[in-house]
Order: sequence, then structure tokens, then C-alpha cells
Amino acid sequence: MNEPLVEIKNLKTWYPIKRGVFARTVGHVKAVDDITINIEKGETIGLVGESGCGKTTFGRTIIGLEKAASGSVLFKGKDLTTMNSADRKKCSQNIQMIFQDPFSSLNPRLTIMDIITEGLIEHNKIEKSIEADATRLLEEVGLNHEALYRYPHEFSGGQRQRIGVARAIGLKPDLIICDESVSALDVSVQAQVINLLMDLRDKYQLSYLFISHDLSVVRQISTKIAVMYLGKIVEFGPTKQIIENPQHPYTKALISAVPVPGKTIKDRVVLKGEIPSASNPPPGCRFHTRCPIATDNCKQEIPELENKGNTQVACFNTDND
Amino acid sequence: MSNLIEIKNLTISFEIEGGKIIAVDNSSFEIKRGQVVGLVGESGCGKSVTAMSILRLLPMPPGKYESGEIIFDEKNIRTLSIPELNKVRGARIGMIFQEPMTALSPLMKIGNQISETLQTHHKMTKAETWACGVEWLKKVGISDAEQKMNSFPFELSGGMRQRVMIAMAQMLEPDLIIADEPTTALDVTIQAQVFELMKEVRGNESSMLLITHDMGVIWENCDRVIVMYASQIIEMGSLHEIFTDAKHPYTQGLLKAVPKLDEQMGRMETIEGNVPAPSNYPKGCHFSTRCPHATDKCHNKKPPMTIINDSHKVKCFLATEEGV
Repeated sequence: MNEPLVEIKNLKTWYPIKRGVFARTVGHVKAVDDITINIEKGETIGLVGESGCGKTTFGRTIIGLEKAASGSVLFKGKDLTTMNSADRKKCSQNIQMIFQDPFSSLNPRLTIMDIITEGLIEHNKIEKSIEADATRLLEEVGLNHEALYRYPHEFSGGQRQRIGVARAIGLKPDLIICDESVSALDVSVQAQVINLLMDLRDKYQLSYLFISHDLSVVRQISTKIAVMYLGKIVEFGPTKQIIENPQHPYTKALISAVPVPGKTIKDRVVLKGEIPSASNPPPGCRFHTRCPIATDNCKQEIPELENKGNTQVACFNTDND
Repeated sequence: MSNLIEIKNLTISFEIEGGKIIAVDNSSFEIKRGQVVGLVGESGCGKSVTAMSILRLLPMPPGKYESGEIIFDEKNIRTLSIPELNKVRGARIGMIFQEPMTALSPLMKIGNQISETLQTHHKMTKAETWACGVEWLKKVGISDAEQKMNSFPFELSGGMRQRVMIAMAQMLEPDLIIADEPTTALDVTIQAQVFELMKEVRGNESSMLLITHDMGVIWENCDRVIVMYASQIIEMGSLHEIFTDAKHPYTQGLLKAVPKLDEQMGRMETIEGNVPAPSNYPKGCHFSTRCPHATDKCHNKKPPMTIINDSHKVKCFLATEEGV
């Protein structure tokens, strides 16, 4: 098998909690805690989980917006976390990001042309002229060149998100991290942007890390799904497998909680309680406080992600239910 | 069953710089006793304005009732005096807002907010309201309720705050609850908890107007569905009629565009184009600019609400002539 595009090994992103006059570190918020995952070329990994589980931090750590506490992110074999800033900049053009909020992620004072060519200019990647390149990118995302000299406020949410996509694909990246990129959009427009992302993926062999809380959307676009809970991945495998035959009790609850039009509710696992704080996660399996099948062992030992069939599951009790 | 509330020809406008926009355009619908009615539509379509207008919660100006009646209990809410209106608010018609953090006062303890609500509507002593508050917090599944009564909203999680909102809306036992996107800010596992809870405490007698953009939520919770697009109600019917026999091209498009968990759909079905701006609604049918079936007539004339049967109505020329 080829070398994976991105190899993430034991990645941890911890935020210190500081207290007192001397701002002593009294603990850590373990937003991302020991994650190992590979992203292959052309693959879309859907990263799902509830708010506060660390999925956004994970994405931001890969792209370098947050500093990793330990572990490594190997991009085509080179470690991004230890690289010097010049190399890092060179590498950064290969990983781009599309953000959640199409309103705050575009600078309101720049024209659309400036926004989508900023990266090209910085990296000396202008091919013909700024205007010609910007026009080409706009066409790529289904907008026309009239948009060039206009400002973000003149566009609707869906159009702004297309502009965000144009900016991300400008540098011909290998990996795009989509952080809740379609969550703020209305259903009819959301579908348009999902189609656009799928078309671009096929055309340029892009890989996506698609972060979302919406399992139905993730189902449509992802080839694999990783389920995150309190900083850890609890299950990882092919999309169809995860949706149709989830193994981990959390994945089961998550999938059964999604209301599907036309389907009667059956076997819904309504979880008790709420997601514990990441600054003080429960010992043992982090899900044991809400898990319907937790045993004493779960309260003490941390389950590792292990192969079960063609998925990976971090649970002691998946075999016997 | 009798109508609990009837909204007739409601039109609401907002004054904006350099003109006026229509936010709700000639809406009529009713909610029967014991019914859960879903109001669905995309952002900016006027669903929240409709909800707020029922209890006269819109700031006026810039808002204005252009026309219409809101008949509740044989009285028009629009013409009630303020003391009369205050007896309806909360006690007869309760409201659950989308973001509990902004709906609860950040400076008051949960317990005091509950007491205030109870004392406004009932002759109760502080101690009685406190006991009642604890009881209701327990009912909505908040553990250590006594302690939570002494907490401030920021000390609670989003799901917890929404439970408090539900308790506050429900404890006065209103006939109608208006829930404006009650679970949009919550995670899906918490959403499942909240809806289960709402079913439990609502009882069979009271009704609900559930506003949401999520077709799945509508499907699981509603008896009837009202679909809004660009300030107008374009279709309404029973749950079954809307989901299996939608007549309006917008409703059909919306249902197809919803990503489904149980099926990999390949390329998604979309509705081309964008929702027009309120200042720039088309002259004819508001959906005509995006409708795949639009004719000249659609572009130029406003379609009337056509009655298909007792419960199913649609605002489209094509649905009645040759079918879409």
C-alpha cells in the first residue's frame, strides 16, 4: 500500500488551566487526547461527535492553528509539528481549511478577488494574472466573474461558502479540512455545497477531513467515519459499516438519535446524562458514565482502539452484546 | 376537535432603511386542541416572526401588524389590553426559545426566575414557589434540583438550560406551547432526551407549535406540517400528506434535498439558486425564480391557496391544473 497522505500519531492537544496569582498550571483540558489515524489520498474522513468533544481542535491542530502537546502529524512523511516555519509555510499550501461560519471567515474589507488570491500571491502561485486566476477559481465553484470586485456582505450564506471553497482550492492542496462547512446553511443550499465538494474531490483527487455533528451529511460525503467522544476516537471504519452496523455503544446511541424522515423510531438508545467536562474526564473509558453496558472494568481501564472486522473500536464489551 | 388558536390573514412588515419589507405575508392557519403543528422553512422565511407575533413579542416599531387576527379563546390577541395580554402570556400560551442562554436572565438565579414566573401568575409565597420549582426541575430530569435552583444560567450546560426553559414553560400548564427551534443549539443525543421529555410533560390536552428547519424533527414529533417559503405559507397538511404526497415543488425539493442517514444518495438533489431577499421577492409566486416547473403565469401572478381536501392546502398553480 502507498504511504498515507497524512499520518497522525498519538496526537495530543492539551490546554493548560491556570489558577492563582502566579498563574500556576493546575490541570489540563484534554481536548485531543492520543489520537492515531491515517488519511489516504482521495479519501474523505468524516469526523463526528458532539460539541466539545475536540473535533474542531483536532482539525486545527493538523493545520497548525493549535499547537500539539505531543505526538506527530506526518504529511507525506514529514512531521509538521516539529518543522521550522519556512518549511511549515511551504507545506501549509498543501493543507487548506474551510470554516463553519461563512460570515466571519471572510474579511469584510477585502474584495472577493483579494480574498481568494491572497494565498496565491503569498506563495507566488499566480499563473496568468490575479484577475484571470480569480475568475477561474470562481467558475470552479459555480460563481461568475461579476463577483470579483464585490465584498462578502453582498453574498448569501451559500455563495459565501462557495467563496470559502474557492479560496481553499486555489493552492491546489492535497487535503482540505472542512470544519462544519455546511452546518450553517439551509437544506437546499447545503445540498448544493455538498455536491460542489464531491465534484471537486473527484476532479482533483482531494482528501477531506470532514468535521461535522450532522451524521446524515457525513454519510453522504465520507468514505470513512471516525467517531469522537471527549478527545478520543471511539470507533473508526468504512462509512457504510459505521452507519449500518455500529459497534461502540456511543456510536449506536448517536446514530439511533438522528431523526430520519419516513422512518419510525425503533430501538432508540436515549443516553442518560450529559457529556462530562474535558478538564476532568472520568477515569477508565470516558463514556462509562453514560454507557448502558458499562462494567466495573470500564471504570478503571482505558480501552484502546482495536481492530474488529474492518472497523476499529475502543470498547471492552462489544463482543458480548 | 375544536380550534385552540386561529391565525387569520396575518401580515407583518418591518421598516428598514429606505423602505418596508413584508416578513409574513397573509398567513392563515389554525391549531387544534392536543395537536402538534410543525412550522418548517429556511432561515429568513418568517417562521420565527410568525411565532413571536402570536404573543405580540415583536418590537414595534420597526415591526408592524399590517392586517390579520389572532383568535385565541374567542378573543383577538391583537386587540387585548396589556393586563389581559399578560394573563395569556406564559399562563395560556408558553414559549420555548432557541437559545436558552439568551432567554434566561444571566443575572438571576434559576430559582428566582422560576419564582418570579410563578408569582406573576399565581398567589404563592416564595417558599411555595421554591418547592414547586424544585419539583419541576426534578420532573424535567435535573438531578440535585435544590442545588440547581441556586445556580446561575451560565453554570448549567446547554441541555440543562433548555430543560429549565421547558420546566418554566410547562409549569403554568399552558394550552399552547410555542417552541422556536428548541433543540437546534443542542447535540443530537441531548435533542432526543429533550423531545422525549417534552412529550412526557406535555400531556394530551395541550398543543404545540414546533418551529424547526429539521425535517427529521418534524417527522418524529408533529401531527400537522406548515411549510413556509419567503414570507408565505406555501403548503400545509397532515404529516402523512406532506411527507408522501407533497404538492408544492418547494416542499418536494426540500424533502429530496435533506441528506438521509439510512441511504447513500450519490449526488444530492438540490433546489437551484438562492432564496430571494425580502426586499426583492418575485412579482408572482415567490418560488417562481427557483421552481423547475415555473410558467409565465407563475412569474406574473400570485397563486391563491388552493384547497385539496379538508386538511391539505397548497399555494401553487401547477398543483391544481395538471399536477406536478
